[in-house]
Amino acid sequence: MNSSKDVVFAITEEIGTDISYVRRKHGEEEAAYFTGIEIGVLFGGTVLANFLIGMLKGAFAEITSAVGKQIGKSFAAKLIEKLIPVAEQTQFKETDTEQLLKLADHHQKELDAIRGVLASKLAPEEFESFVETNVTYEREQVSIHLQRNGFTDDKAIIYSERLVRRIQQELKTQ
Amino acid sequence: MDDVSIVAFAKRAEAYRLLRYMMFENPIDAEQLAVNVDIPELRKVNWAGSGAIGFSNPNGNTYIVYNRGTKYTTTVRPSHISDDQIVYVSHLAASTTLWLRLQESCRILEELSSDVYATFGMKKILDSVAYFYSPRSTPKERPLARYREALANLGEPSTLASNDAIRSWVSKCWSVIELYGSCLLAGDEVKYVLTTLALFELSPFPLTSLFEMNLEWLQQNFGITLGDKPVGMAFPDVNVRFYLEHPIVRPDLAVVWGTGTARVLQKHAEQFRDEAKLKFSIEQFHFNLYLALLYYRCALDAYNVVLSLSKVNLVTGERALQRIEEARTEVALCEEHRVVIMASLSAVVLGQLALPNIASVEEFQNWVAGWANHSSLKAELKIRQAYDAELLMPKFLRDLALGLVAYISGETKAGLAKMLSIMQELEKHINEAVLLGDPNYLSTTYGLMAGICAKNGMESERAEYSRRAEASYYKKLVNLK
Repeated sequence: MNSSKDVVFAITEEIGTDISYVRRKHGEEEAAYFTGIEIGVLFGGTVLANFLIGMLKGAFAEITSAVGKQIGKSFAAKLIEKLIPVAEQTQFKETDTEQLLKLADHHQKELDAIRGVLASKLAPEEFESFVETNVTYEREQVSIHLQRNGFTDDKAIIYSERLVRRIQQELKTQ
Repeated sequence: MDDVSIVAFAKRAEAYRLLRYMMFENPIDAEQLAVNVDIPELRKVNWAGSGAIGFSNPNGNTYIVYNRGTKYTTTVRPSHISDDQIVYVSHLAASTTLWLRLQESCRILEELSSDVYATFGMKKILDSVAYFYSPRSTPKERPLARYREALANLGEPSTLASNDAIRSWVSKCWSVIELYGSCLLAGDEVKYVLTTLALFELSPFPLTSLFEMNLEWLQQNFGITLGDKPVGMAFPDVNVRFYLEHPIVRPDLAVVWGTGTARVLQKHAEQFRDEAKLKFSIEQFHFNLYLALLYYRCALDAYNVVLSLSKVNLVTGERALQRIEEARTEVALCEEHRVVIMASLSAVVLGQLALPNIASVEEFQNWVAGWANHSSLKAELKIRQAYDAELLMPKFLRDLALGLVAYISGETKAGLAKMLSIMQELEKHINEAVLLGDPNYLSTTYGLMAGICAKNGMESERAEYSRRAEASYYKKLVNLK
């Protein structure tokens, strides 16, 4: 299974230098930053967490979802609860880049654990189809997250499309 | 193609790297930037600590604030930094170092191959750069207007009577970007024209009325005739403020029109930037960044004009208000990209200490190995930072570097596999890389891979990579005599 670190690097690659929207949103007023990779890897983790939340929400939006039944509503709710602290991370103002990287590493480990638990509930092919379905929910979840973190509406739409496609691709590379 | 041509192509690429550095704004400012890089105070800064560097300029102070890895620029005195943590930098006078270096580079190129020198029009380019060092180009005469001469063959603007004729002329004028691309005009000379052309293309008014605005202004200021000749418009005003501030343009419309123009220019910049990262030649990578830089500068010009319009406070519509809000963010983004790309283009010219010089295979490999020997995790982050955040290298070099790091950190097979997959891609693009004068990453990487295999007892692989590292393999690929 691709580690969350790999997925996060893929997300960072996809957003590229436009990660500066996040720095701009959370940084000092009137400052022009030289945004580094640390914001990318920390923010990448939040994007992955939001994607997974969207995926779990989507499983229960369809009455007929077989995966939803298999995972179980209460179990999914617990996973979402664990994902929320990572998904709603707003500590992008910290100036110590080493600290930001440590926090990102901690999140990636948490995401690995949550993904491991989720994957253990499903057979590999079921997990793959789970990743592929309900794209609407993942896209919406990621798009709102981008907007909350400084991306303009236009950019949020473009990037949420790209990111969901890339994360699906990365999660399927197992 | 022969060996001499390959050396000449490489020399041409070297001259172009310097030219792009000199022409992305204008050569005189480039000379100043080059001097600033060597400011002794900057070399002493511990960027991992906290403090600020203050630069004095006619409009007040500018600060680079650094705090445990984070850096930002601001014109506001950082309140959390004490006086003793701020180092003020004195102004150093610019010289003509770059100009002399360019002339020397071109002289060597001409000696190596007069064909390559002529084919790439180096004489014409040198003449164009020389203009900036001549008495013709004095600060008093700026803003520069050589674009008028360059576009004169496209028709006389004052004779264009219909909307269609003007539209056709405007679309032809975009060719000015080719003159910038081939370093015949500097970024400062074409920036305002391009921004204005983009504004014209999105005009909510007939283009004839924009030309009428120009004529009215001239007649109001100079009269109907000047001497015995009627006052006419030689070229439309290339300041977008002139059009957006015009009384017939309502405040909301001015904001939407101006930001719409900026967004189009920004999208062009992003497209060139994103395409640059996927190129398999360093020359194309830098060329794309060079174009992206111009479009970012144009977008910045348009956004800044909109945000400083006298009528901006009179805006009432929701759409225009939202555009103003977005423009404040986009200005910061475009500015960051401008700085990042300028640093990337300068890294291969000035050899700044902390940035990898991808124009030299040896320097690049040493940079990667230096970080990898320190810590493989740090090396990976540095490489990804250089690719994702700093636009210092294209994707193929990032992957090559990651392969090298994997090998150094003990994952020999994974590292070799990664490098091999990149070499296979590079082989497909080898002809363009040679024609564009790229450094030979192919032979050197195969040589490196052969060395790795030798150290690890992989004899058959070593023999194969050694064969590919030989000049004969490379020559066969590019069909060399």
